[in-house]
Amino acid sequence: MLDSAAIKLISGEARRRAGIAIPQAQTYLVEARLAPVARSEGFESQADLVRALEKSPEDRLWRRVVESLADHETWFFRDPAPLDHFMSDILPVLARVKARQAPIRIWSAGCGTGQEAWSLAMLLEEQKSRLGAMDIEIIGSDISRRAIDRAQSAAYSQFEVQRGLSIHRLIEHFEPHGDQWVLKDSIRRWVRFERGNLLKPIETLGEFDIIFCRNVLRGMTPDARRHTLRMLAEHSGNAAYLVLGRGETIAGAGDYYRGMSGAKGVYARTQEALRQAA
Amino acid sequence: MKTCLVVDDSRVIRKVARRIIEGFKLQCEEAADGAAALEFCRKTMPDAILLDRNMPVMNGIDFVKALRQEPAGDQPVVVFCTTENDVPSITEALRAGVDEYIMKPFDTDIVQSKFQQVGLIGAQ
Repeated sequence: MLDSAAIKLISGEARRRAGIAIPQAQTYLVEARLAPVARSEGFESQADLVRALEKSPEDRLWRRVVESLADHETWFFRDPAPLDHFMSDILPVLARVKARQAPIRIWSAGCGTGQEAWSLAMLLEEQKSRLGAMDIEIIGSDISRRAIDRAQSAAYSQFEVQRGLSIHRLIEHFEPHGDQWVLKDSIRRWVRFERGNLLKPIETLGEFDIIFCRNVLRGMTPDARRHTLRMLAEHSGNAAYLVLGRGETIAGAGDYYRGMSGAKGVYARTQEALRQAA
Repeated sequence: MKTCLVVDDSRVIRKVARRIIEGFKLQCEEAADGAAALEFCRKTMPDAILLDRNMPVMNGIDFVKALRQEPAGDQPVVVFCTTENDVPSITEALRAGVDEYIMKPFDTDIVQSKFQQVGLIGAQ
């Protein structure tokens, strides 16, 4: 059991480093998430782990603790409506704007173990004949090194491949490997993963035409949300879109984004945002 | 209310499946093998069938082939449910006429996800 001082220390650091909001009522979550970290770092208990952090605050250990507190739960084709809207309505617009002069760049921000990025890759691969020679890049990023390693491995358990994924897509895009299912190279070639904290500018990522940042903001403090929305706007190109998760809004984003009629959760970057970035 | 027929020779699996399916507010019926299931379907075609592969009398593959030949036999959504998880077995089942495939062991999340994908139940 962790006492309230320990919970306070952990929550404070999670807020400071990653903008993670841990409601008082969810302190059990801290204990549950810290259990495997404590075990694999050789501590008897979560309390011992916290004591070690208090005594000698090792950055690597703190990072691991905070990363374990970020919510990584995701699945293939989670809330598919915005993905379909992207394929049918947004992609053709981007294709016209880009006119094959530059690649269309997609960012799955806070991608966890990668299922959203891979779902987009599957859609693109399935419609590749319609897309012609369109040059498209997908980047997935997450604060958790472990989540990114898993995403990069492109290997998923039998349980994971049955959540959200149809059997037709499973046998079309995956190959069995031991007790795992691994994505084929035809899908893997679409996506690149990088570790990144949304609170810190990730300059190497460049500009994107559409950013999927779903079910990420809702776990953040209001400050971190504002900060993240501004950072996403700064990573957006001239005609760029932002897709948020169900129940998430651009509240706090000032006038960086505006909602789009007929597409719930889809926002367009405003000209105001462009002027401010200039 | 939509009806789902559970076809499995294991009474335990049928019971587990019934609990899950009734949780989705579907009406659940049971059959212990493919022949009994076919008989049921000839009287009342269910909206969905959760189908085991290996059963005495008539197995799941033979059942779904026979079902698809029946009048209105193309209507039920057939979700196969089996421990045979290799690609040839999956392909064989899809060719025989199953719509979705659950690899055992399954839990409520998986059945829910598959039933949502085939439109039997709405999203959460």
